[in-house]
Amino acid sequence: MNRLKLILPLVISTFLGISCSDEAKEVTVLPVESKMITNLSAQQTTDFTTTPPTTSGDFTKFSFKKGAVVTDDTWDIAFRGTTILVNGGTKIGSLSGEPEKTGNASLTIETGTFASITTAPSDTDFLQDAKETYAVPTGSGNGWYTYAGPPTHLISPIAGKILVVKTVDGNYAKLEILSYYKDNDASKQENSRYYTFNYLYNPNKGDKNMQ
Amino acid sequence: MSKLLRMFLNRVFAVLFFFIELTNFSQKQKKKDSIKMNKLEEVVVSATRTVRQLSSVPMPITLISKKQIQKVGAVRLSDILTEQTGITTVTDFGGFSGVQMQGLDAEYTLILIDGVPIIGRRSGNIDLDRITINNIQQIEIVKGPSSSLYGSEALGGVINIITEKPKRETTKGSVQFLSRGGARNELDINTNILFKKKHLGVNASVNLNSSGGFDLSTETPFKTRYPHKNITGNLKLTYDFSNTLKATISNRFFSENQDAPNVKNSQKDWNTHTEVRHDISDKWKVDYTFYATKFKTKSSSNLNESVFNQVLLRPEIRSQFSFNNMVLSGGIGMNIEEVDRTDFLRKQTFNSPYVFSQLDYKPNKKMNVILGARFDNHSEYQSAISPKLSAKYTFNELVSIKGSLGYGFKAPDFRQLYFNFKNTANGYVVFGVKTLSELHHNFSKVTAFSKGLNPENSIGINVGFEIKPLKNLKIQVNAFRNDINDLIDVFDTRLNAYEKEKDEAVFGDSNAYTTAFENEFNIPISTRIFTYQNRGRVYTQGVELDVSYTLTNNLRFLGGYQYLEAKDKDEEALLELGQVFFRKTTTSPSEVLTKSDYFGLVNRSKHTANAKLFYENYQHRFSANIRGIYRSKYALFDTNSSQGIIDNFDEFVAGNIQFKLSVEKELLNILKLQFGIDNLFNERGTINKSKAAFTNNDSALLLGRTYYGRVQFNF
Repeated sequence: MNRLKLILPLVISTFLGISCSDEAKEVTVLPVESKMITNLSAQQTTDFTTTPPTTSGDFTKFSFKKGAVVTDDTWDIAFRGTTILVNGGTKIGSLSGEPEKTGNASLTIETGTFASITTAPSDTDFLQDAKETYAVPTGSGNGWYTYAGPPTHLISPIAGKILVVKTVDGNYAKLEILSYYKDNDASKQENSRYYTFNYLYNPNKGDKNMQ
Repeated sequence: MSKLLRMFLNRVFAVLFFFIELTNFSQKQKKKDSIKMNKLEEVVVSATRTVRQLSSVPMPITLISKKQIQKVGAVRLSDILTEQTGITTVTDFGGFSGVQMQGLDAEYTLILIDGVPIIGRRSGNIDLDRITINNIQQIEIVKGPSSSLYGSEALGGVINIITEKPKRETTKGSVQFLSRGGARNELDINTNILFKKKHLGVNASVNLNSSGGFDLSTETPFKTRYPHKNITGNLKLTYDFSNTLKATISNRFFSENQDAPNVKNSQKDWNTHTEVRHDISDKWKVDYTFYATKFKTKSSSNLNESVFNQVLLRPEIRSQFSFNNMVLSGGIGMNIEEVDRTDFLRKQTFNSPYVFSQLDYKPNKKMNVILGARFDNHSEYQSAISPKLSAKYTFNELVSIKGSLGYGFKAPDFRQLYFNFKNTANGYVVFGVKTLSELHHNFSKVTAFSKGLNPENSIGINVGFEIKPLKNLKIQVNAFRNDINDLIDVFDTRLNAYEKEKDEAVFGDSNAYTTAFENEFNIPISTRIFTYQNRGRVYTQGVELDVSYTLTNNLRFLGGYQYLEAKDKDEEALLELGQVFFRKTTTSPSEVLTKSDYFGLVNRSKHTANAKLFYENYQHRFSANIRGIYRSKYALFDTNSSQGIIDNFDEFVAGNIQFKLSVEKELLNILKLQFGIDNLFNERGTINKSKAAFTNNDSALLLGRTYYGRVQFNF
């Protein structure tokens, strides 16, 4: 009986201990979030009367944690026209309407299919915006898109370009832009500047797993 | 493909039966005329630059006779080339049609008149519609590298237009009118006089050609081709000082005006070619030649005027010496070229002397070996040595084999060397290699790009055989492979202001480096700077098949087929690495592109074929023919964002068949009447209109049905 009295708490506490640690594990490893964002509006206006032409308008800020457009400082990346900014580093400088950089997010453009990027690359590959230098290079064929020129003026996302982002909270996410046109309909010029993209967000801070 | 082929065959058979019926009907009357069919052996001069029997030449060669040209109602060079096996005409963005031979672009085929080049390439193309073929004797097409004889540009081969020379005493002339209607209108008026008396010979002609242009997609504000008017004048004088000393002076003049909205384009070229032939003995002949040509274009609108002026002078001496079973020939000459155009810093001149030699050896009746080489010296780019070896072996009357291996090159063109083109409004500038190093040699980043250019070069192999299983059936097969290296392409230097700042680390704020950058190139910040570099490697390979079958004395069938692969070696290497991605639809996720899905270069069709049936009724002086030309699908550009690589998932211009028909009747020895229809079934490529990638793209469409009538008076 004495023995039983001795063993029982032990057994119970072990049991509790085990179940406690199990519970703790379930809390830390959250499942990755896979989602598609459609028709994210990234409008801008350009004044062609000045030389060089000046572009203005607010950037559309996106947070992977929220999985949505945000208006506060919790954004990771921001879109306007074909330009993509990251919330980290210093301001570009010459850009009108450029949001303040409050975080330490960074990103890298990887080559592969969305599925083939299974882990985030080493931190040394990640870039931030700097004065007059974009982490996502601008211009046709330099970053994420190509520009067809007249007569179609089509902006096409380059196949095999995957953006891997380290968010303001230190989480990793990957993103593939699928379309620059509202409802994927590139036939009308006014449909442009609407992003559709697939992304995957790992809610476990610092975890590089991308699948 | 199979569906189209079946359609094609059905139509061919239908027409075949029609003609066989006709033949049976006419056969009874004809027999005595059969002597006419035993023509004299045809001779060519382009393959070796010596007179050779067509059947004896050890390299692939096509001969198009004057008769054939007239039978199909062809008046411009483009009209006749489209119907030849292995030749495709491709229309470039400027609306000019150029020739694609053995899968090589137009800029790699040299176009000659009587052995001297036509100058004035625009975007690499000699416009084939510029050249009238009314007053010529024949067209000779040599396939495979021929730089060993002709120097630059003869990578894919040579098209040589041989003009008529009066051989015996004669006075004859002709006036002809050709009028075309339907999808395109055209008027071609031609007069020609051929005269020879004693020592003097004259060939004079004037040609007028005009068209109202045409528009393949009326939805767009621009026409596909704007109206034009042109005139060509030819005057050729021959004088025989003696049987051993003969002189020829050929002059040609061409002028064209074209009216597009707000722009007037004019084009002029002239050339004069003097040749003195001295037969020192039966065995030793010498030719002294001097060629001068000028090409000039002007394009003027209210806003600006752009001009292009090119001059070429070429003195050349050739000699030919015959031994027992050998002919040793050679030549020495110099190209003196001058180019002046808008977007050049100044007029550019350069001289390139050259020397070539060839040994034509016949060890016995069955064997022929030709070994030749040429050296072209140049100050502005690397010199070139072009060797070539060809051989033919005739087993018997039924079978012969031939092969050739040669080197070809194309010198960098003027743009690649001297361009100084600024389009800052659209954010880019293009510098020729020489201009870039001349203007900006102090800028450290530039020196990396100004190493100079090598000529583009190729090695070509042709191996083939000819069999005559029946007396009236001839089959020719030729396999080819061309490896082209050092292709010159425009590329983005990615030079920018920021790099300069980082490099030199002397500029503190953004204004300072903007200023510095503008001082260096005098262009706004973030303008992209392009220049040229030797970078590409491609190959083309395939098989050509030609069949000539004389069914009866009145009926002859000609058929041709080419299988072609034309691919970029660098693109293949990228695909092997798995580094190319594409989207199946425009907005689907990226996938890896595999090498098995690689299609090859743009504008190349894997399969091209032609079938022609010629009917001739000698008694009634009536002739007719029908021709079908097939071309399988081809790409215009990458439509699925796979780094410019054409793959099986891209949008293609669908394969098409065009039929052409022509009938001719001769009256009273002096009058010839002809009526013809091109694109009989009005194949307009409308299927391509529904493809999103080809919206409003005229290149994906075909010219519809046209009708023509021709009246020719001979006196």
